[in-house]
Amino acid sequence: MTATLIDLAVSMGRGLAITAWLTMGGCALALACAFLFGLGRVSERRAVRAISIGYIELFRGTSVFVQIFWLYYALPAFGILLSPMVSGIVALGLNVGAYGAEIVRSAVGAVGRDQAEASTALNLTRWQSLRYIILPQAVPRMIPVFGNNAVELLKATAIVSLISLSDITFQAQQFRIRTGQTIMPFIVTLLLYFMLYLLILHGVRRAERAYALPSGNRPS
Amino acid sequence: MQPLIRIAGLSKSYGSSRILDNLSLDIPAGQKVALIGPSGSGKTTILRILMTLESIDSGQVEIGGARLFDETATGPAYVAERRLRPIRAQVGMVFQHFGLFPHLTVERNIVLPQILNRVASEPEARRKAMELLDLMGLADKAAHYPDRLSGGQKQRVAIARALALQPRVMLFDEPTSALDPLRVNEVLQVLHAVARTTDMTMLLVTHEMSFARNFADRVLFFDHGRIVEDGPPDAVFDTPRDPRTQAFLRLSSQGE
Amino acid sequence: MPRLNRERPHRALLAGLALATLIVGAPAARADDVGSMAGSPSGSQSGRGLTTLRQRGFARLAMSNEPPWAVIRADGSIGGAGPDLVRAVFRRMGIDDVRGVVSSYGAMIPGLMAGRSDLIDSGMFMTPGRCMAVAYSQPDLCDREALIMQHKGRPGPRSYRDVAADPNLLIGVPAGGSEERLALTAGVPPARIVPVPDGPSGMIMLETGRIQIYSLPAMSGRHLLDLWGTRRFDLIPADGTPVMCAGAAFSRDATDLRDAYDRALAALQANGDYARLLTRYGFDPALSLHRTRADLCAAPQPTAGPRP
Repeated sequence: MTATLIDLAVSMGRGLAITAWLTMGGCALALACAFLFGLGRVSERRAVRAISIGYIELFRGTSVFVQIFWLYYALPAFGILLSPMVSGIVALGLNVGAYGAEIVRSAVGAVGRDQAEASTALNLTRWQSLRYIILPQAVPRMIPVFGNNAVELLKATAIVSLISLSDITFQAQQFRIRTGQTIMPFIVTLLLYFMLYLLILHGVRRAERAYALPSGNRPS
Repeated sequence: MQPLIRIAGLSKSYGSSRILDNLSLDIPAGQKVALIGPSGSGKTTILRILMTLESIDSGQVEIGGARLFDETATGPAYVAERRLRPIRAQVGMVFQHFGLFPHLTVERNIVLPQILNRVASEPEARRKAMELLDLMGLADKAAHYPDRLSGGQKQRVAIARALALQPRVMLFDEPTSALDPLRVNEVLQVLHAVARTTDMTMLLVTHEMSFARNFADRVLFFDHGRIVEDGPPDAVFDTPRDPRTQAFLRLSSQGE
Repeated sequence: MPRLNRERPHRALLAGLALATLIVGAPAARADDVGSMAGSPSGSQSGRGLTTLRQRGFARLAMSNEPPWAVIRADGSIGGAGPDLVRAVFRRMGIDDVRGVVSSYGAMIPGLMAGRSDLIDSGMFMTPGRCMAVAYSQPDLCDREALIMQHKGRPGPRSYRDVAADPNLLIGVPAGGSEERLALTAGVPPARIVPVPDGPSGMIMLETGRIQIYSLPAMSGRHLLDLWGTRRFDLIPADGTPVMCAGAAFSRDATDLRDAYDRALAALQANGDYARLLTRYGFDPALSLHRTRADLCAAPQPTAGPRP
């Protein structure tokens, strides 16, 4: 029994580390892609818009399963050999980033036109207007939706057993096959995912507070 | 003398409706111009074109001798951004709906554009902001966010923000029409004071006829994208020549 | 446990993508033949010849957890009859280290094709279809089909045909595997065939009455009974089923490595090491004696040929 518990703790611990790294790396990349292509989507340059739309539609229109497969199994044929962890992070990041880009686009679009026009009237450059006027108002709208995406990304990490990464789900499955026990690894799996979910939730709450729009007066 | 603003043969349509109809207009430096006329007659569109916010179908606009449009295969297009910015720097605008930045304090609304335009250092910009807020009677609101201000206060902040950049031309687009009637006067007083104390060129679109008369050196009456009456206030208001002006002024005086 | 042709929807997709990989991979493989790619990404991943492996000092073995055929331990180390045999064969070839590339079952062939591994040995049975995709060694681990059922103290079904005859029986099969085809051929209607994702799930389905019979290779069945206890369950050979054989699977552009492997395997079979190793895991070394790759790959087997 003790040996089984140690087996469970060791294997699930290893799985947790993989899942946590994938989630953090994937979220970081997704965030970068979301801003890069979400703002590219509303660029004045046609080529930038076209590239952004192409990226968004390609990665929203094909499943993360197919994407991770291509990155890991097909890219080597073109001389690009990414490690399993990098493949996983890139696939999850690019996939969720495509959804994030649409969030950025719609949040920027939801900031009133009058704000952009006032910026022009005050002779701000497009970049200054974006940086100092539009984004500070758009980002608070994005954060809760980004939070949902981060949770979706966490859950999507279970796909990586496809590319020889032993995440939480894969480890639980291996434990079952080794020991024949089903209830225990599933309880641990449940708790681990829920714990990671709570961590993300906590991070989102903090970000919401940090970027909240002011209301009412503040002491000067 | 070369006029500060030159508008030549300006036309613009939205679908089938013609907003500006081959309109030409020169405005010398320092003139205070009131633009009046029925809604949809093209007054606001002129201001928005001068602020580079609106495309046109044909014609040309010059401010201080610099052209706003290049002739392209698809008609006139605004000149490149890098040539447009020095022109914009000479023009300021106050909008009907204020356009204050809700995430910045009143003071920051006025300070940030100065800093981003490199017209003042941070301390200078803040000094300037407090000076202008004082002038507007809003010194105690400096640390407030816009959503805590009344409409009249918001519009005065917007005026201070535009003035802080010291433009040569100020455009006021119906600055009192979104206000509670009780608040209109506080804004008009400020506008009047500014008009009397500076040599800025000013264009004001308004439905406040008595104020237009006091404020302006020159009144333009617009109808269907054309200027149908152009003259000093007394002449336009007391002895309008065009029947459309007469009818409009009659209706306006009934409304007041 | 080993399956012939698993065709759950995503596995079918995998197969399609694997084919695509094979096609786009062809130019890279040719470039490697030129032999000027050493050090470049393409060279390092496609170079899977015997010389390359000797220089590198280790072989990368793709496997999934299919005890006792192949086992992944909690610390990530690998064992089981297949990997241990591979280790012994490679040692004889002068390559002392074999490192596991842990994969899900469906990802092993795509991984081999993409150069993520040098060979597969995870109890993957030879079929004509697979023989076209990979280069198999001579058969190394062979097994018969078996049936597991709850112990009732009275005689139960002894073959797929018996299962077909009793309309009250639901039979569990490894999803889309050879057992499904065997059951269908014996006349079990599809509505009474239940796909099972993995061994422990199959045992739980037996315990809870979702299925009455669980069919699978005998060695996999014996492993499950070790965990679940032999008192409550019976494991019997399924009458009238063919012997299935697995082998080590190599990339088709690494036949020199495969041939070297075959020679070393034959040497181990001759000196008795092979029999000792298989017996340790409970496998019957005699089953592979008269079976060859040529037979197993040549014609579609009567009961489990490639699907259209």
